[in-house]
Amino acid sequence: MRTATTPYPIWAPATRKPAALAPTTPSRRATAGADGDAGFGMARSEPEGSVLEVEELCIELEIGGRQVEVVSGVSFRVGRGRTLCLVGESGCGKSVTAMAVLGLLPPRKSRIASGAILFEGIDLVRLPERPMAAIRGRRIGMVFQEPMTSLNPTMKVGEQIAEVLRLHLGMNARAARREAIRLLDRVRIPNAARRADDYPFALSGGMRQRVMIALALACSPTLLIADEPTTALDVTVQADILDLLRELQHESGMALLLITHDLGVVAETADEVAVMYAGRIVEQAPVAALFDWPEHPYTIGLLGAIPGLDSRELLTPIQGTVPQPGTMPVGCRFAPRCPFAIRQCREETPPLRPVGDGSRAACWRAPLDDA
Amino acid sequence: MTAGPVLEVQGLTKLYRYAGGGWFGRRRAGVFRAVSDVSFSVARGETLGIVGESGSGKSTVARMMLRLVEPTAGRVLLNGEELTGVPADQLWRRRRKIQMVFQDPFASLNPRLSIAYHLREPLIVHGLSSGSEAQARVLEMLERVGLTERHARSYPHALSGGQRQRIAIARALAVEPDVLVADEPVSSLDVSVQAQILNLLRDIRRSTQLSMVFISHDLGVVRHVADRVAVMYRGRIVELGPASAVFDTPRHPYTRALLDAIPIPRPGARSRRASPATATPAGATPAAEGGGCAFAPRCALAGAQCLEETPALADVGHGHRSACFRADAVTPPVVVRPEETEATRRLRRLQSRFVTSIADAA
Amino acid sequence: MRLLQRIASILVTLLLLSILVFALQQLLPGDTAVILAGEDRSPETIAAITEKYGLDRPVPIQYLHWIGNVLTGDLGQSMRLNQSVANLILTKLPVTIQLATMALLFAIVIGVSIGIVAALKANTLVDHFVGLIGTLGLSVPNFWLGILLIMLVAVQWQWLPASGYVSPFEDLGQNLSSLLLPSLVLGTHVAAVLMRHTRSAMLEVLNADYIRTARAKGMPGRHIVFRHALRNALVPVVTVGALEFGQLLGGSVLTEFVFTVPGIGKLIVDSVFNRDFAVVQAVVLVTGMFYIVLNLLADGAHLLLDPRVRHGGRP
Ligand SMILES: Nc1ncnc2c1ncn2[C@@H]1O[C@H](COP(=O)(O)OP(=O)(O)OP(=O)(O)O)[C@@H](O)[C@H]1O
Ligand SMILES: Nc1ncnc2c1ncn2[C@@H]1O[C@H](COP(=O)(O)OP(=O)(O)O)[C@@H](O)[C@H]1O
Ligand code: SF4
Ligand code: SF4
Ligand SMILES: [Mg+2]
Ligand SMILES: [Mg+2]
Repeated sequence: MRTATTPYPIWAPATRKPAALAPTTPSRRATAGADGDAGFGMARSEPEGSVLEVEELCIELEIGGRQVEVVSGVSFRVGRGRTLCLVGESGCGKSVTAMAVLGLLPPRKSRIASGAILFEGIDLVRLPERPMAAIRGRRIGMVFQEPMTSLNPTMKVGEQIAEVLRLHLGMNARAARREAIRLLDRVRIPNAARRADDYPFALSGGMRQRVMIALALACSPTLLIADEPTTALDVTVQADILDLLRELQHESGMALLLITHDLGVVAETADEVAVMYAGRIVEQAPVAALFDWPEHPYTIGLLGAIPGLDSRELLTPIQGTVPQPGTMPVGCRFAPRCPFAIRQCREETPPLRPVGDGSRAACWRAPLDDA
Repeated sequence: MTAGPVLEVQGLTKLYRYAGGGWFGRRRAGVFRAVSDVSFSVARGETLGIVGESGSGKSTVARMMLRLVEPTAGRVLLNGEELTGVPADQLWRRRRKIQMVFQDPFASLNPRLSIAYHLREPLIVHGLSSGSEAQARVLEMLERVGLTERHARSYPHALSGGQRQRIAIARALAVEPDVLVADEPVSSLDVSVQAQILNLLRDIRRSTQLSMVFISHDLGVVRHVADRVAVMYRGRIVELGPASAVFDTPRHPYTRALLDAIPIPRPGARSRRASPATATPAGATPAAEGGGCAFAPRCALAGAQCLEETPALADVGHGHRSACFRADAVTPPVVVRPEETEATRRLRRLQSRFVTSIADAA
Repeated sequence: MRLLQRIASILVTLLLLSILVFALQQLLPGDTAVILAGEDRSPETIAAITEKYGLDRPVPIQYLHWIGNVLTGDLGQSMRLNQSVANLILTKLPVTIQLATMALLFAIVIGVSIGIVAALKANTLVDHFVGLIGTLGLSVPNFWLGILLIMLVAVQWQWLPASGYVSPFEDLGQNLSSLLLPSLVLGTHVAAVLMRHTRSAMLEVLNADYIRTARAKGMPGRHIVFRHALRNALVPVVTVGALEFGQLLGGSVLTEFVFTVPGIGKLIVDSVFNRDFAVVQAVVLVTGMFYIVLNLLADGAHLLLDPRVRHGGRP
């Protein structure tokens, strides 16, 4: 089943210099560079080292009594203070990957078949439960997709934050409460002191997600994993939450692994992007390069399928549907939907390989410029 | 039929009464205005988009148009004939001309009945065709939404979300309605599949002069399908106008806030997100029922008048209407338009390879 | 408002209950006065009873008569024991309540804790074994279990008395040991019920998103189970427990009989056998009232545990 073998196990963080090994397109270098700088008001420092390195991760889940591989050979790296967006359509394995990092997959129904998850040099895959629990909430924070159900309904929100402070930082009850209120205030919840005594049902979805963020950031983690943190929210609330995340990340310098299916969110948040399709990463690139000069047909199709605000051109839908785990096509998993497919695509799995500018694509036909 | 609008909605209002809650009667019973005085019309072949945040009353308006929810007040006219006030036994015949498609295609299909049955049933019920004629019509409908005879024999669970939505559309169109009301028809679909359905609706509209009311919380989607757009906020239409006018030169601060909040899939398309009108005060308290503009607590332009009077939906020119005292002060959103470069040309060239006819879409 | 509604609904239920109990008396074949007279069929007694309960008047008047008496605490006279029924119940009821309480405590301790273990070990050997025990607990008849325990624990090993009852005011230790076996027997069924409810509630809660959040916070497993999961899981279990308490009160008949515990259950059995109808009627009425009050208490407990209900939100 596991066929994805890339000669470069870890994705090198983006540099704006062309990768030595890769052929580069002159036009691409020019536009990507310019756009990249124009896109971000604040100066972005080059990464000093990576906080999280996921290497060749394969995850199997029990689905309908069968072990099915849902994540196949996924590798990525998140640098200190950087934002990596993991983007893909529903069911492609984004959440499973995120859960694997925190060791939150259902114990008897899942298996990390192979690969490593290095967090600050520690391999989390092989870490026993106790030290793992000490990392969760302390050094890695996590925000989930479902703000309505992710807080304990019978516990005051302030207490839910204070609890983590007492546990990891050894604060006493009073100090923890004071700090919890400060955190609620920091995520811009008005009347934080009063709100701390509210139960979750009294808060709106946006407010609950703020509480979740306060909770995840309580112990100043070095890595924040946010799994579709705004998918369930209205756009105006989404904008606020994303602004908040950006601001907090800027203050604290933590690394952010942001999972989303929305390329708009990616464009406005990411430094680097990994596009997932059917359990594999099919393209990785710095954000400007990905949007400007995508190399994988799936990325290209996806960009054409988004109904934009500024155009009414015909959308370019990708025909067919995403394959379900357990029924993955042989070879390139995108082949049945790919207008560029050739015979090789249906027989061999394309490796994720450099295609220039710090970008990598898993496509036999990349670079596609001659297509 | 007539030169007038195909669908006309006048002063639709829905009040929900809620019982007092709480053990010791802490919450008092009262009424909740889900929809207040909503009026609009839709011309033949036109698509009206309705946008607004969750709970703003979009679905309630849609359901009232079909009388799936009884309006508290207001009228719905279809081809000049009133749907509201018609006794239930005469309603279903008139309702053939207005059909609905829902967000969750699975919920509206019976898992034990074949796709062919789902498509045949409305034809027979409305006495449009029967026997082999109906069978032929079923296949024609399937083909029209990009499916084949093979799908007719299958059951709902065997189809993907996109295919189920195609079936729901085919079923609605089978009885040749004048108006299709689509409530979030693509919201549960993946982007790649969503585009298939949007293109399908567009093709159908072009070829049949079908009028459509298209509800979505996704402004990009609405921009793509709608000729005119209504923006709802807390049960009221706050802005209504041609799509290009509403999106390019919004005249209501709420529309502006919505537009500013949408992430654009193009790095650098917006230099900085925060603009004065978008700042959403977290946990804004709702305006007191009755007096003042409902948007005032979140509005950067709000003045003294806004807290006292409720602004009416007034004409601001070119068929564009806004319910704001300061409509003139609303500035257009700042978006950096993409330049035409080698890269954009390349992308379009590559993307054009994805476009095929809808027949082989499934 | 809500409180008034509750009270009104309780009053209506009580009214219906009283009518039902009254109807019981009407439905029995034969002359009511003769039935109420029990063993003593002398014409004077019958005439006195007819006079007292207005049995020669129309049925609705009879009901008003009867309910008036009940409300003033006059539940009639036990012909067999020649005592007022109210007195009789007041002396027997505490025994049954103590028995039922002990049984419930036993059931909670055993049922809830085993339920938790089963949920934590869901679909393992432990879980299957517990499930088996639970099924046994549900299907074993009380009297059979009672006799078995008497044979083993009381007769064979002589650890505890086989029967008899000692008042707690005489000797608390003996009182407890005399009620230990009966309460175990009585509580077995409820323990099994609570175990199943706890297991399924716990399983549901353990799969909830907020438990995932607690894990993502790095909370130790113990803490997650007791602080986050249990309270939420107990919300439905408490309701079941309170209702089961009503069952225990009413269901103690056989157990009291087997262990000769002088409680309400034994009273009703003796009364039925001796056609002491006034007592039967009163016991049914009192047990029914208990049930209604317990229902109210169950709601109250729900209220305490679930802030959404407490603050008038949607549960
Ligand atoms: N049956 C009902 N009883 C009481 N309130 C209702 C009922 N149906 C809808 N509402 C309320 O009416 C308001 C409008 O609901 P509606 O479903 O029309 O919103 P919407 O704009 O479609 O939202 P969404 O984008 O979430 O679908 C909401 O506040 C909702 O809670
Ligand atoms: N607990 C689970 N049991 C069985 N299948 C699961 C479970 N969690 C996820 N899956 C399956 O694994 C695949 C990847 O899921 P997920 O990572 O949640 O996707 P997404 O990219 O939308 O986050 C999906 O097909 C999903 O149905
Ligand atoms: S490898 Fe082949 S099928 Fe896969 S994306 Fe590239 S061209 Fe398409
Ligand atoms: S009427 Fe006033 S408060 Fe309402 S949107 Fe206009 S400016 Fe803002
Ligand atoms: Mg997910
Ligand atoms: Mg809706």
